[in-house]
Amino acid sequence: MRHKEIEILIQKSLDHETNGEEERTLQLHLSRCPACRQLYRELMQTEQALTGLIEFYPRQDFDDRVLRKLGLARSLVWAKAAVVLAGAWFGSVLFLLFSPLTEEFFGRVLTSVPALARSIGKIQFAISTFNHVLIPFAKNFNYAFPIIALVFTVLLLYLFSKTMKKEVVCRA
Amino acid sequence: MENEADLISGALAGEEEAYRGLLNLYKGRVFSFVYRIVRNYDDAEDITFGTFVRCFKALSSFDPTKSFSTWLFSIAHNLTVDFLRKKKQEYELLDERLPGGDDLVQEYEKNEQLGRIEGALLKLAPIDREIVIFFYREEKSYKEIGEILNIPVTTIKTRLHRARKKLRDLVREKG
Repeated sequence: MRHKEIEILIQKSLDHETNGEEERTLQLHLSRCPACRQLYRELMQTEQALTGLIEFYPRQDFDDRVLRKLGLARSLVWAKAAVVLAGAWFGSVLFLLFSPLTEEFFGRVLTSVPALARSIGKIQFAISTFNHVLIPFAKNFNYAFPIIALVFTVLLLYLFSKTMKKEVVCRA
Repeated sequence: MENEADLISGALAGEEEAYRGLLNLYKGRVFSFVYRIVRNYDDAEDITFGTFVRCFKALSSFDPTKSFSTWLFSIAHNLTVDFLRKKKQEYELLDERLPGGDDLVQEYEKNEQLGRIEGALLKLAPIDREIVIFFYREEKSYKEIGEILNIPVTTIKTRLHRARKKLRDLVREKG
């Protein structure tokens, strides 16, 4: 049998379309012809590799976007972000109010970086002005607390956004 | 895992969880298929997004006696071809000028053999890539592939045979 005819049989075999006699003819030829045997083996290896192709995925929010487009899912992202922000800020304020760490410690931390100290100075001025309205109602309140709570909140929000970041498997 | 027919019924009844179930079953498969054809992540995501939106909007017209995956992939195929034509990319020939695809090969850093086959696959014309993916990855029959691509079974066989040989030659070159 010619190599061209064997090649057709090989393709047919890979398509699982050979009958018993054709398969026997093919296997007999392959046992005697190294070149055709090599072709058959390499085509089989190619096939195996093709069946092992990995699966890729779109971004994490894909499902939500599809369903939102269809009007099936409410957008919960901002609601979640608002809850986290409010919870983080409130938690931070509570922590600071009942924290065993001293004001001096916080003061040192906040003023350790000159640029940060300057920014805080400006914010302190703004809040101290606002404080004059609050003083009759909050005599024990320290105006540094909201600033520190805000710093904690921004940090927590940043970490939160990292977890919400689109996770991509096999990204471009 | 829920039965596909149940998910389709649930989706037709408007159940969000049923839609999510169908997305879980198919988004990876459809996205992988489209990604390997258009070779760009963002474009592949847009096309996959369009595929599912179109599919779900037309779900009431789906014939339950037919294969859902074949129908879904038909939509994906049509949108992919439209995209390639808009970008003036050849569908039946390989346009060597096309960028992209390096990331697909890079993902296989740990497995050289798979990386070689992925790289070789990129060198096929889009239509041949589709046939190879449907035959080997999606395990579609020639008849189903013919339905998706709207081309005769004999053409599919011929192209698949040529693609196999070409892939083998390309992998051999790199090997």
